Amino acid sequence: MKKLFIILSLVLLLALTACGPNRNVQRVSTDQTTDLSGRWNDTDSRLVAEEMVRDLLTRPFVGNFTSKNGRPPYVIVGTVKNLSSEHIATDVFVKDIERELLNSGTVRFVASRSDRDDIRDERLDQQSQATEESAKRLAAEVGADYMLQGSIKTIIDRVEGVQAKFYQVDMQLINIENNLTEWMGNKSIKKVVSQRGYKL
Amino acid sequence: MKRVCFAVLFLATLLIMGCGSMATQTKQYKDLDVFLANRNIDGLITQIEAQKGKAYKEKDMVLYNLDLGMLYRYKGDYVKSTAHLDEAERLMEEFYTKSLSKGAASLLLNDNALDYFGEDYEDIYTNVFKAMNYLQRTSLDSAFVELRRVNDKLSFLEDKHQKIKQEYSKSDDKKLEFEVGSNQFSNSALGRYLSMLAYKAEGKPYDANVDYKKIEEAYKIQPEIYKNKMPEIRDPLQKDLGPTLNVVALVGKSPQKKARQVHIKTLANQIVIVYVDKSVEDRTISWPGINPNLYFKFALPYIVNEESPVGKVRAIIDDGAQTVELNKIEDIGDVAVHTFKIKEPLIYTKSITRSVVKGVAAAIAKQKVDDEVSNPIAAAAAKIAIDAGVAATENADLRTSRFFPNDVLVAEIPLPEGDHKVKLEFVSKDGVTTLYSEEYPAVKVTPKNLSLVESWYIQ
Repeated sequence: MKKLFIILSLVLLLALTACGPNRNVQRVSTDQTTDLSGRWNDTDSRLVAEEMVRDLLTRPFVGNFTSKNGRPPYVIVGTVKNLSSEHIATDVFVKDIERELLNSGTVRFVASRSDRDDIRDERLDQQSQATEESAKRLAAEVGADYMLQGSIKTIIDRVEGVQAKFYQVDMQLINIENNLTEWMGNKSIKKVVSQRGYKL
Repeated sequence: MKRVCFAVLFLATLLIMGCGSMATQTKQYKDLDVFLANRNIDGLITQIEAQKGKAYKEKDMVLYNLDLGMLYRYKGDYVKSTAHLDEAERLMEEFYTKSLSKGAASLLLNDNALDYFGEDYEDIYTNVFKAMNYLQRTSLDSAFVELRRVNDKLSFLEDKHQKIKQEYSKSDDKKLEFEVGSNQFSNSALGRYLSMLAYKAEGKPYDANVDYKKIEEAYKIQPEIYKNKMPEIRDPLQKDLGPTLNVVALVGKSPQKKARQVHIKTLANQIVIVYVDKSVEDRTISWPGINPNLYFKFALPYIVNEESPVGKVRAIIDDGAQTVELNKIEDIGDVAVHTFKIKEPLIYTKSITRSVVKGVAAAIAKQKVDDEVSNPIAAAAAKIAIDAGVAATENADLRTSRFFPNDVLVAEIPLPEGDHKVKLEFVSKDGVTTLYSEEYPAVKVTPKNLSLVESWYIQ
């Protein structure tokens, strides 16, 4: 009888401790790799952006353009299509690329279409509201030389609870005047996600 | 003697206390038909939300989110619907992964006590309905993501259950070989149709044509799922397509699970499986070491395709200038029945193993009561408690979401560019009664954008 009560108490204790809150939050560095679900994450975005920019800058066309025109090329970011089977915030990835390229000092960026609308509204407003000296001129925008476009695709393979995810990111830089593609970059990421599950 | 009695009573109490987890809960669906008949979706949402933590325990959160996700869709709140369906999908993956780790250990547990990771059709149509939510919000890229997931999931349906089979096979209690049924459903016509609409809206007729061909293929190579004639859909490469109104109707009650009672009689080293309703012939299976003259009961779940009172759905354009009947593109009920067959052999073998192992243990316990308890009343009570405990843990797992439609009907209606008045009528099977109608006073139809009207009648 006593034995039974001890067992019962132990079971209850075990059950109760298992039900308690078990959340632990730890601050980590933003460049630390945190692969939790196996899905596309900030590390993938950063790594791909770095690799793309490194590749772009080692190609001769940027230097050629600068020496020919006496200025760095002006680039606008077009669409990076998400053709994958995951919801990927492509704008975060695009910003990563923009930042890397801009900070390299080798190209300059023209504001994107949606950003430009805001600026244009402000400029129009200045024409009636700001002083003549401080109001910015209309029709003085810089036209971009190149447009950066791209896509993210996934191929998924799965067998016996193990999933292989293959991400392919393709980017290209197109001359806006003549539609010539000046550069194509590609970066692939492969992840193997095992569904071993939780140990209870 | 006292010790035996106490142990038996303790076991029975424990089992009966746990009955809430051992049987499928239905409290949350109280007066469901009344709510749906009155189209009182707000009332249903309130009732469902109030049952979180009660009828919907942690292990049932996939159902909770599927139910709410679909109800918010019917309400037209596509953002909340997507949020719940996202959570349902996340939990389906998490619970499935968890079930793998519990695999062998869970062989003897009643399925009702385990985390519900959704039926295959629920998993697939969660993405389909999310895609429809995104189309309603004209987020084409996000709709494409969901539709790609549908295709991914369809490719790996069998594999999902193969892994569970392997885990069960590791159990020490394994006496029978575990099998997985084969899958014939690899292409969803509805998924392809939505993808075709999205490509057309993107101005990509060649990509839309690929999906159009896949719809044709779905009908051609999966006749056991697509029994009806393919609806009239125009090839996106056809010239002079012009502006089109797309109409979608969700019809009929969600497919439901029911329990089939099964008895097991034992012979020397053999067991005989007897279906009470005689839907399946008796089957004798070798079970080395088992004693004769034992008798156990259990229940197996099966899915039924619910009959809808709706005979046809018609779209009446501009006060009768044009009337078009919608045609079925997907029978979700048939898909549910078909995909359930993939895992049915696993449930079957697991249930037999569980009831035999538990039944034998109960028989031993009852023998012990006979040997050690001298008071006949106490002995009878102890044996009843043992039987009650075993019976209580042998309910079939009947959990399934309640708000998916059974059928999806569509129509493509070419119309001149501009605003059009659209009325959808759900007509009874005898063609006499209009069960429900809904009006859209000004639907904008343009050559470029997607014009999509959707309604439902799921009672």
